[in-house]
Amino acid sequence: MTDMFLYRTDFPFSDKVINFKELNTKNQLDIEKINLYYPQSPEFYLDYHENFFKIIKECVENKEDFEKLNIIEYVLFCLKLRIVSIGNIIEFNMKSDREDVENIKIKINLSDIMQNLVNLSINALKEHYVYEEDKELLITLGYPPIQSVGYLYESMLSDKHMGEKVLDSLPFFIKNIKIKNDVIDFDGYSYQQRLKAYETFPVSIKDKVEKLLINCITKLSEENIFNIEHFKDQKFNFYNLFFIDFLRIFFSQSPKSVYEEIYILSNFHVNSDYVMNISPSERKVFISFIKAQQKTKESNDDTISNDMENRRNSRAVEDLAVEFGDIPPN
Amino acid sequence: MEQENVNILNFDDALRALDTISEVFSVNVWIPSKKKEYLFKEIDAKQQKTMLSSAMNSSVYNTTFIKNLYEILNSNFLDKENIKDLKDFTIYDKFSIAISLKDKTSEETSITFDETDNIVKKVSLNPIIEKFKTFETPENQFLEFDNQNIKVKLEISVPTIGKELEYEEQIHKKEKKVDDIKNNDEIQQIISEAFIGETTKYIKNIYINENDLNFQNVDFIKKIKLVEKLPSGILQKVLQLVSKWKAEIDSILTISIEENGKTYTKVLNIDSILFLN
Repeated sequence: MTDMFLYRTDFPFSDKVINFKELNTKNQLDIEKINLYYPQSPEFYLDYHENFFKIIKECVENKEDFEKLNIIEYVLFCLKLRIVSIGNIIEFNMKSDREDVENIKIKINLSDIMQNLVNLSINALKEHYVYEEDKELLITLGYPPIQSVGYLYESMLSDKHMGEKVLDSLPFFIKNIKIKNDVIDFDGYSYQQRLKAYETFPVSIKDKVEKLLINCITKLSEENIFNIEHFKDQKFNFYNLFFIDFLRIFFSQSPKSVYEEIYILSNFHVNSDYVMNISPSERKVFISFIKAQQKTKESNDDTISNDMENRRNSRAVEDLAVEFGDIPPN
Repeated sequence: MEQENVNILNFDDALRALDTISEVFSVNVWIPSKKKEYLFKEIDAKQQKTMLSSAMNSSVYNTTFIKNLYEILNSNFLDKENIKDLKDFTIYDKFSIAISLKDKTSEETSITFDETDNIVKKVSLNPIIEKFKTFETPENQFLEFDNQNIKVKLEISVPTIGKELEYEEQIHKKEKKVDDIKNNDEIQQIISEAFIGETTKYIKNIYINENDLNFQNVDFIKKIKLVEKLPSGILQKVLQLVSKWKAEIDSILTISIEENGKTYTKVLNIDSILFLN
């Protein structure tokens, strides 16, 4: 069966358009498997991320473009994929702070989070150019690419002071440099190459770049993207790879319920290959049909047995009437 | 709209292009000993990092900073036709270069005027740059000393940056960390070695009864051995002259501010910290 990539999305920071299809049952099960396998602890963030990324990439048609997204765009894409494939509402049961209530239900609309993240990231990097007109030098800044996760992971686990972590990561925030008509595109550069190029910056230019980026990183780390009291401490921070956990939570579902749905569909003669290829939303539609069918069947069964009972009852009345020389009722 | 004709560079070409553009970020520096300006490239991010590592160095000597700054001066000197002049620049010229390079990277420099009163101010280094333009490099001087028909004559000059580097490379080959110092005797030894070493740097030549000892062409280990044999009276005279010159250069490097009705004065240290504030 040919994969159809029916959806497309563009991004706030790059000119890329990503064509994608919904997450299917197999992808969802794979995610649940890595959710179960990798502990939710920073040491496993990189392994988890690499596998999660592989699964998400299966839903994308133009994979090369996808690999060049920055971390913010990647998170936005994952949220969009989650909305299209599973739905935009997530409900959590959280432990309540109140003594009289044990748990409270928190409802999150992923579309709102996407909008918050777009607004916040654009606002934080409002000034994303360093321009030296007389030297015809233009430096464009951007968020770190998704390929920088390995570097950020090593940095997160290192003993470095936070200030050092931030300063050392800045080469990842350079998108490109234009000198007259020459363009230096940092996109495919490794950290070492980026660093080598960054270190050639005259200090007066490096200081301007540093000032804008530190301002951006500070703004990101101050804003609450959830707008929910319970998650007020969850800020977008590249240095603790918070987004990996964030996506894990939004994509997690009980594997038991997924298997249950597959089981039910198989029992109703839905081809198992087909089930593996449909999205969680489609699966829900089939399940709703089956439930409705079951309900109808149950109600039909009730009607038939009532009819039979009624019929049995009317026959008995007729017989009785004849026996007593009466006319049976209609 | 007109289509822009852009050229995407590969990594090697990109580095070359960045190197070329960095030369546009240049600064004219007044060199007092030559009484003219030379063109230097602004320090780059890597060189600033090197300065940071010098600042973190816990050596009792200033060797790392001296070597790093010498490297920077060499690679950032854009007046390639006059490159041979560079090693003859004096250590006072080096101060002028360091201040100008620092001034180019930021308009103001944070200076601690008083640690007790916590007086830290951001000041412009431009007044110092202007003062350097009036600074007269001390002329070489001859000091003579007669003792029992032996006439000792010393030629004293401001050390060049080339000689300063030579001294560090020959004498402070082995780094001595602050933690390596075990007792007061060691501290005293370091101070007395530094005193002789500093004095030696200022002695350009020695003549005994008008015989040239070819002092210029021996290494610093031998130079120090010779200086240690000089009568203390003549060393005292050298010290007085060096102190006088130091006072002159300190007056150039002095910055004053008024704060809470008080005047605070600071002689700027030319060290790695300067490039980080």
